[in-house]
Amino acid sequence: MKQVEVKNLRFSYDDEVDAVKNVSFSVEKGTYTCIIGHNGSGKSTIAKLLIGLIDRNEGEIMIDGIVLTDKTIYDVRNKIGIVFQNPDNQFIGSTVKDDIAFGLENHQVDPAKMDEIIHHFAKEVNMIDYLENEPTRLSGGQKQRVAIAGVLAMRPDILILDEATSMLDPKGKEEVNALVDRIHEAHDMTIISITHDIEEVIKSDQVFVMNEGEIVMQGCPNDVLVHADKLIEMALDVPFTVKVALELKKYGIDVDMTMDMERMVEQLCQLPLSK
Amino acid sequence: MPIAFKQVSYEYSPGTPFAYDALKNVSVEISLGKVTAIIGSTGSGKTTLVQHLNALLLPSKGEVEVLDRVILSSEKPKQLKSLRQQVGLVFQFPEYQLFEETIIKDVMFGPLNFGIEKEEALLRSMHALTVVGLDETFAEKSPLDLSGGQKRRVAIAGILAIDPNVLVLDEPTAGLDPQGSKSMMSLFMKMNRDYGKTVLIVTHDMEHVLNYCDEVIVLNQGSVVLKTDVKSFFRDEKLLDELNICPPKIVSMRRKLNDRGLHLDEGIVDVATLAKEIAGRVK
Repeated sequence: MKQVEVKNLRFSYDDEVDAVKNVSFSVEKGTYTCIIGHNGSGKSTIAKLLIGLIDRNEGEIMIDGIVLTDKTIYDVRNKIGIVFQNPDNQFIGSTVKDDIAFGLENHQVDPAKMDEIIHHFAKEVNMIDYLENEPTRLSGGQKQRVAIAGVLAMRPDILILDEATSMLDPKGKEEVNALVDRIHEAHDMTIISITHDIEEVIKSDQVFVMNEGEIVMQGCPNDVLVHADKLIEMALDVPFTVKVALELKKYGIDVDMTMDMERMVEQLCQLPLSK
Repeated sequence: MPIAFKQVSYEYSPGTPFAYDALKNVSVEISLGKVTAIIGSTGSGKTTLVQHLNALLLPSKGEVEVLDRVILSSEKPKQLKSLRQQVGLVFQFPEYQLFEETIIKDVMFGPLNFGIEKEEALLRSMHALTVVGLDETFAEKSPLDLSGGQKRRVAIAGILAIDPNVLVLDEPTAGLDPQGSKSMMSLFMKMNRDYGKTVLIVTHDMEHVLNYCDEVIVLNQGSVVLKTDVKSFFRDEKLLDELNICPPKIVSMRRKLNDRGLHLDEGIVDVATLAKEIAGRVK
């Protein structure tokens, strides 16, 4: 089932240059989609258009069969949760608990039920021991996990991550990535992740490559990421194993362009090498 | 030694319930003219360490020697201004610190503050903007109209315009896209190779440590656990495991191949050399 369907989307911030030009794509329910592209290629603009933070100039956005219009915007937003890049810019509450409660209060959830919901999702993101803590005393990874809890409490069907791990240290990144994987599996949640992390792209179901407001490549990571020359041309990263395969090609050695390090090692060991 | 920490301890909020030892008896020397990486998990004291270098923080105990000056606890070093002129510190996310109405004014703020004549300050600032990859068309724009990566370049230009001998960068590539972070690192290499600056980089990115740095200082819970040259650092598999450091891809692949009996030289740290080595061995 197509959960997100976008047709001929166009958007311009200044009526001169189109930040998004004639973009069409669809996302199946329960899949993990990555959007990559260099800064200014239109990735975040797409995210903002999907939740109706900015209004498209042309085209159609359909979420779960609902066409996004002024009238349906709140129905659409009920289905989508979004987590942004900077953990410090999205904290509203003075404690972790208040922060998770913010969305619930906005949705006029019965206060009697609120505590249970907060506890449930704080547990889910492994922050149950921090409910009374001040956000300023949390690490970046912990802050992002709280932000995710706040979003999950709204019970969305789709989770959009707009470079949610790019400001985190390796440990924080790992925590958040593991959490997102768990949510994806456990709730069959549709994930749309705007990212520069090539490792995250490798494990996704499909990847869109954006350049100057257009989707220039799309498909499963194994098909897209092997086009190293095109990716490099667009100032994007290439998986390490692909770099190895390309370098070997220069010496006339052909190995499969696998994304998997173990498989690449296996292939190299199969070559007739003197040890 | 021109830059040296001697038994330095630093305590935040002493005498309060929030008192916290961020540095514990740290002694380490930093080589002039080199690129040194400072690594360690969040909260290990990296930022606290580098903020001693221009006396933003004064040691609670011990002393810091920086370019013939001694920074002691509770005593402001003499000629603080000239120290800060020589040690340029770029904070984390410096793009949030831009405040002037035009880019050129923002870059000129530093040199003017240090008493440089206006004309000279302008020349230096224009040059600094070119060095960070922003041409003269940017000069009169508002810093607010720039992208995050461009703003960060403006902030760095503001430090370069002061022309410090020592450049300290606290996580300069955090949050940048791969291309932005690559060109940022190239910029610091240029400052080191072409202009002879001593560069210190606080980072979490092991690929950057391997590809750009000469030496590495590892911090853990406020103590320096190691200072060594980068090549031998990544050669020591046991140590990396002990420090819980995820090595660069090339290092893990070399390790896996050697586990399979390939005996690849541990000096191989880039893909091109690895491929050449493997190609040379094909029978």
